[in-house]
Amino acid sequence: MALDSELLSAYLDGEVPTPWDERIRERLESSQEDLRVYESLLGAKNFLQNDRKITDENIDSMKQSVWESIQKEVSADLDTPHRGFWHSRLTVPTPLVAAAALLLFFSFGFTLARSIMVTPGQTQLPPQQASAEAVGFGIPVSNTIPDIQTLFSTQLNGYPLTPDQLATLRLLADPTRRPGSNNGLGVTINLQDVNQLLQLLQGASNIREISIELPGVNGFELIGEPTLVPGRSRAHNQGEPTSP
Amino acid sequence: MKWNREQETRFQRVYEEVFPIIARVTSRITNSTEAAEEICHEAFIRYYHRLDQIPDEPQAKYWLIRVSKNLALNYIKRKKREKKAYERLLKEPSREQRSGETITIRKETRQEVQRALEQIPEKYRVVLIMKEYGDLSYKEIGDVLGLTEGNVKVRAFRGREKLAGLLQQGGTYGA
Repeated sequence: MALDSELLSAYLDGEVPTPWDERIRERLESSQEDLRVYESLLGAKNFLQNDRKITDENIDSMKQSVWESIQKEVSADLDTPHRGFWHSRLTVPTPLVAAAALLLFFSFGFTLARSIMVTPGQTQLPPQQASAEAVGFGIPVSNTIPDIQTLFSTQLNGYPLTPDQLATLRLLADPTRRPGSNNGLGVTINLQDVNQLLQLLQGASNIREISIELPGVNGFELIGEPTLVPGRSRAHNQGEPTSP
Repeated sequence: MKWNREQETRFQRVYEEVFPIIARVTSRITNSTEAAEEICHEAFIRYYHRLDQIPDEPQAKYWLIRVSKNLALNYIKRKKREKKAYERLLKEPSREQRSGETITIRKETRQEVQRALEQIPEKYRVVLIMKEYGDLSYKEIGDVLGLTEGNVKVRAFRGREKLAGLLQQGGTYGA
């Protein structure tokens, strides 16, 4: 019975312990079949060992060369000053960055929304957001008044004001006044014609509300030829009231 | 990194002991002295940065052999990919220059060994190279590769058997 080839390979490598290696040696002297397998494996070993000798010739020069290159790199590393915490590289997981960005976005949005929200009962308004109301002619002037003193100095939108009217408007435009306390206060301006009304309205970007009371006496003149309007005339016939 | 006297001495001791092993093994795997030098340099620089983590010298030895073996295998895989890409580009297989005058006999021998080893599966080839070129015992090879001694013994035999078969086929691989 032939020896196990794996055992012969291990024997070649010197990996068979002492009592057994002696027996294998004896077996190889007596068995031609085992010797043939052994020599085949030995040929493969020698093939590599011969090549190894060629490799070994370069080992010393390689060793020196690599050592020098390592020394160079290590010296450069040792000469580099130690980087502090603020210069160290920090790796943060992407999900954490996304969560932080979302949190920042929502907190910023919430703060912004609170800062621009103006409630009706708010008492301390900045001057730019002060409003004034006028009953009668009716004005609530609001929104971005650049300078109240300048605006109401002598006239309103180009229309001359009396001292009383001016005083009332200044009172209404006072930013320290409590909102809602303007009921009953107002400035009534009597106008002579439509042109004056247009002049007052022109450039009245600061006026939020105006009430116009037309004169009681009809002073309109008829211009052009009168024509009959069928719908209207039927309404008149039925006695329905119409406003002028 | 700062290293103390003890670390420096340990590094030198490990270098003296391990360098010849990994130089021979990587030279054989890559079939290139230049590539082996680069791999050895890279492996020891990595070890330098891990001196604190690998205080045990035998462990450092196995670690270095394992790292350099992996670097060498990666190197030849990369080279094979480059070679294939080059061949595709030129649409013809690259021919090896074998004119007797320009290539020495030694180089030719090394090429023959390389060609023979390339025909052996990697798992057997690596064990065989570590045994023949690294002078490592079965146990040490097992520690490096994470194998049992029995497994190393089988792989060494299989690799050697395959190589012997190639040599017996004659032709290119005459011993």
